[in-house]
Amino acid sequence: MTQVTPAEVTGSKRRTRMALTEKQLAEPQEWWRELREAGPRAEIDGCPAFAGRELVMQVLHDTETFSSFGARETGTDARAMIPLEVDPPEHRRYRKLLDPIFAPKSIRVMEAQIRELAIGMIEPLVSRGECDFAVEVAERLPSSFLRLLGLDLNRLDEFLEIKNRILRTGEDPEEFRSRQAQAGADVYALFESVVRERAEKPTDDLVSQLLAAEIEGERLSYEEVLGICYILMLAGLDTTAAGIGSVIAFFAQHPHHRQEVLDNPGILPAAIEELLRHETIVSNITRRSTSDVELGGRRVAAGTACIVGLGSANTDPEVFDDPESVRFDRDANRHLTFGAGIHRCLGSHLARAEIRIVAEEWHARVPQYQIAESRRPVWTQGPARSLDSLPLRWAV
Amino acid sequence: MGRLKLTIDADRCAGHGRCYAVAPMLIEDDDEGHARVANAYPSQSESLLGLEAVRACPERAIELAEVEDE
Repeated sequence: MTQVTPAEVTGSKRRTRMALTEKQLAEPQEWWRELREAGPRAEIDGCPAFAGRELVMQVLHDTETFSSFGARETGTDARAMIPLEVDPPEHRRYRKLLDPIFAPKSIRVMEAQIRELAIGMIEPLVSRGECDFAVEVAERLPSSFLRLLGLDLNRLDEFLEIKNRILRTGEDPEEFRSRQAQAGADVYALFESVVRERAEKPTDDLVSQLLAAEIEGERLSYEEVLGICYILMLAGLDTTAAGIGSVIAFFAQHPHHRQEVLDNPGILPAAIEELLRHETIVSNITRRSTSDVELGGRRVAAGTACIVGLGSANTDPEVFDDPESVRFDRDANRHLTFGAGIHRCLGSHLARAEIRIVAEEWHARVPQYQIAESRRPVWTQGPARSLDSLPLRWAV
Repeated sequence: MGRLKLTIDADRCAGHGRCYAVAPMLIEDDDEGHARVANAYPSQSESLLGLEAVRACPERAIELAEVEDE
């Protein structure tokens, strides 16, 4: 590697998300490569970006220098999302409690229920020969998990609307901030009533479990339970929908890859890992430097919002051969789509199960499909790149 | 002649779950979803899978190394 002089101290205190181009949303791999190749000059939204695999791993594992607290681009609500925006040692308390609930063993128990929900959504569509997969399946399937949070599924449309108000960036940052603040308050109001009800009359849902749980002899406060519910609802609804949409969108546009999976269903889990890598739907996350730090040939001042380029790391040629191609036969796929280190995505095993089950049930009924003529997938930006619309068509 | 031994650095494991997905006969998941060695001494035919688990770990927490017979 060539020696580089540290670039000027750059970066802002907070990240304000700028609008991405259509190409950056639909096919971001080229942009991820440019970021990686820009080295110490890589920036997103005016913040320094660490984009190679090694740099990304260093940032994610140095939680003392690169904090998860206060890195978010909004200052609209004072509460931290738990445990996403909590640093060690407190972080460990929460994960100790939450990890078993989202461990593969627990997710396996939920699979039958997820499958039933998926079939119920897919079956009515089959004879129609067309659908908007993003709206009619991908966005709605993760709702299985809202039951766990004690929410009434009959109100799903209301939850989805609030979620979109919080996460969809839009064009105008000012408008976004005020919209987000109001929607954030709506979510807390929603959970406050659930938390109060469960405190009086516990059920077997997650909110009741959280209220009853003791960590090192201490109960969680209402505030802590609310902080956990908030992130679980947003992440559970949005990223999984984005993951499901991105996988089916890819199969719709790449019939050869789809045929590989149809011919050999045993490779589906490996195919999903590869698409998780290639699509990296949450491609740039944020940390905040706690001290002046020099890394990757650049100097970053204390208190700077720093971008961690998961998409760039996942397409780093140092780690993956032919990184921008989709190959279902990669023998090792140690992608960072779910992050790395202590904040590794809590819901990763649930997300994998949901994506796999939807793909299985969809392909069992609609094996051949394509993007509807004269229409195209519409990507949208939030913490995850996700699909607002995925118009599919198939022969009936 | 030594043999291959599989070890997992529990401090590094973050629960990605890639290893027990590719090599379930060697590595199992605990109640938190973290990896635990199920069979530390893979047979010759299993050692390839062990290697795959090593390579699949995003945290580089798994090692497969030759040890002297104990």
